[in-house]
Amino acid sequence: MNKFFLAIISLFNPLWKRIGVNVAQLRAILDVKLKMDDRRPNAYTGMRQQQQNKPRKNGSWAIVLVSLLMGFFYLFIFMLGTNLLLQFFLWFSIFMVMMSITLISDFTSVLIDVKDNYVILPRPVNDKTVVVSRLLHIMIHISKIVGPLAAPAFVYVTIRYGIGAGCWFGVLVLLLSVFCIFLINAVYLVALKLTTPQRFKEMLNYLQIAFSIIVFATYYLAPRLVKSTDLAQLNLADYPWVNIVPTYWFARAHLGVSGLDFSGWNLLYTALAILVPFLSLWLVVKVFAPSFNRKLAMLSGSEPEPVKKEVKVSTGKRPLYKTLARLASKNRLERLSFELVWMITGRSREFKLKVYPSLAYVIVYFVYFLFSGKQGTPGQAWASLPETNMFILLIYISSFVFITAISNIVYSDKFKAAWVYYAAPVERPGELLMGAFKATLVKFFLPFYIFIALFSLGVWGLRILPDLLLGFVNVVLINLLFASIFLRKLPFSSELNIKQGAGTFLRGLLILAIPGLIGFAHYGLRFVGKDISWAYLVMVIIFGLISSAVLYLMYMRYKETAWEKLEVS
Amino acid sequence: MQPIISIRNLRKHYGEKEVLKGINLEIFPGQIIGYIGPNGAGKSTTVKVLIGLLSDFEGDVSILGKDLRQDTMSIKSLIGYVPENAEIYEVLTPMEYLSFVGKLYGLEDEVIEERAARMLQAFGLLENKDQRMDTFSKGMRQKVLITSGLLHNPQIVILDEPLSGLDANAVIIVKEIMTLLKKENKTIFYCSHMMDVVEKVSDRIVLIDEGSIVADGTFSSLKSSDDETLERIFARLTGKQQLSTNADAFINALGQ
Repeated sequence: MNKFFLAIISLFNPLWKRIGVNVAQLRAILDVKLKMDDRRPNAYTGMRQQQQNKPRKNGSWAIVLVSLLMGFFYLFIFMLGTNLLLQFFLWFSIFMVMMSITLISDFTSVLIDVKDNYVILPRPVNDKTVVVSRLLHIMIHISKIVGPLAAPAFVYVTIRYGIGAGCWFGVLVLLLSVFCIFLINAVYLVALKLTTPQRFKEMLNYLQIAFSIIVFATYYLAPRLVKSTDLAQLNLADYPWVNIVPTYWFARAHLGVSGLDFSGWNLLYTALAILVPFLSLWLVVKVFAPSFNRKLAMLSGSEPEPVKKEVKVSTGKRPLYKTLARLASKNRLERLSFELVWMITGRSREFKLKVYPSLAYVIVYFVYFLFSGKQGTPGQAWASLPETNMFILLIYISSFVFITAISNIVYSDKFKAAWVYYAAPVERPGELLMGAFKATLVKFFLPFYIFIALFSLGVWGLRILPDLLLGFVNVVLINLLFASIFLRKLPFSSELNIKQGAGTFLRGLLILAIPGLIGFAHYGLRFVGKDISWAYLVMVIIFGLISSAVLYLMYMRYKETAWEKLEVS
Repeated sequence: MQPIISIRNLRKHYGEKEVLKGINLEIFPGQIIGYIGPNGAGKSTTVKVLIGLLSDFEGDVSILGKDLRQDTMSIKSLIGYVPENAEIYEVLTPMEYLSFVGKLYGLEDEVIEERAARMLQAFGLLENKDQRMDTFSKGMRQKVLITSGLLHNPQIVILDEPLSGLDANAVIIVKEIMTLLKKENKTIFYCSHMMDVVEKVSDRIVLIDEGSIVADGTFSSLKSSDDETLERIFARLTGKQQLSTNADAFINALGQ
């Protein structure tokens, strides 16, 4: 695929030469950049933890395939009702959002390669070559996404409305892409103006997280929503604000031209759809690009950020995590591990990037389950919620949040730093594990459970309080079980891409089976005490006592975990 | 003799902060300059100016009589640069990387291929030439980096901490390479914190502190007594004579 792009670019060699670009260098830079794109994780392939022993080779194909899949997926928009304007408006909007978000998150690696400053800039490469290579690189990257993303819709439009409409559609997609590039440039510039480059990189990470959540949520929720909503009946004309939404112009432009309806308004929108992208392209090249490059150079840290010497004045107040650590345990080793895990999970970008999306997935599942009742629309499902026993499901699903966090806690980029545990005179690593467990529990699970509890109390009322309490004991027990399965290595002591071995499948089953089993037992109780309320309460208490006892035993055992019981990483 | 590098009154600000406060240096071909100074003294800023990364400086820098800001391209082709911290595209293989860098200097493919292979062989990396560098140790990457800096046969070689991560054998090779380059009348600008190495390889030592040159001369001319080492000179001139007091304080922290 790279050869193909390079060949196309070299078709324009005379043009490049005329504007003062060194063609051989241009080719060399692009060749290397594309090669590196293939081997580097990107928004699509990098968001899940990938265990791969093989070096990454064809990252580009992954992008193309995922984009294509999404492209097919978004065809569903054309099944919505009969209002063409609405269909195209939605399609263009989704296309634009998808593209912008993908590009923004991918641009960190594509655009901001710190190493360029050391590798390319000291060499005799002139500025024009650098700028053009950067622009072309971006264009290639974009076409890898835009092409497949738009292809299914293009084919659909062509078949349904004829080749003319299809081509016009293609042109509009290109124009819209140009407009997106403008937007992204603007976002970058504004962001760089407002914050420091360092913080900006951090922000990009959150965007990446948001991106993966959106993708996931669309897959799960969109079909449900579409089936039932009144979206199809929506009349865009009722909302005057759509007139200033660019994608609305594009939709109008499409319908106007392909329907050969050149009324005054349609002409205006068509003109806007064509002119605005060109205007923005001009802005990007003339106004943004120069200052952008300067900013980028800054981002790469050619300007040294002086290490601030001032130490934070200690206010005498103990930080929250230390207080929590004190509350969580009396054992010093446990406390230490609690604090460490708390701090690192809060600061490690890598950890956040892996765990937060998964946390959001759980929430998406949540919504999915809540509304996936048999009873019609989400509105109806919502109304009939209090009659169901859904809260039990909610309670036990919450353990997934914990699992996501705990199964990632052993991994780190800097896993070698864990030597310190082995060097230090630690008698029982179980205490370290327990500290890590508690930190994860308090930081990731507890807030979530409280949220669920409040939500459930709101929906079902105080009567389910005993269930919530029992559920809490049970879920903590489940979590501890998971910890004793997953947390068999010291926190942050293991490299991610080591394959986890054969136990993975069994573990995967356990993840489902344990909460399921206990949850069902809990669910069963509701039928036992259906008529006599005190019987139910007694059952809950007995169940709670048993669980607490098991919890205590497990707790003591886990805490005593010896060195020999640790998995060697 | 015309100096190969001539720096006159070089100043550089980062915002309010003045990092270089008027550097004056004339360097002649065939010299090995040991460029030393404490952290934050302005060493790497000087290097960045010399390799053409920073153009917004005050003062004049000319190389072989050509103004750095006017003839940036032709000057850049004269310079070979080995950055510190192993800044390298590590998803590439050494061969891919070297051929990339070679092409940036406009070398022919066959020339690159041949030189790179021979240079890698000298470093004992030939069998790794088609493996991706992300699995390489720091020393291996450093070897590739040194190779990439010398591939185009530069007149001036700027080395920034080039020995870091190298094993003792490789260190000997690199030192030997420097002597050979010097024999070919190449100029070497050597930045390092390893005083003993600088002391041995440099013809001339330039010590900067807080943006100004505080000492400039041969090792023997800098010595105030016969048995003074460069390390001592460094400590004396950068005003940190109480270093042993610091060490005492450090040990005393372990407590009575």
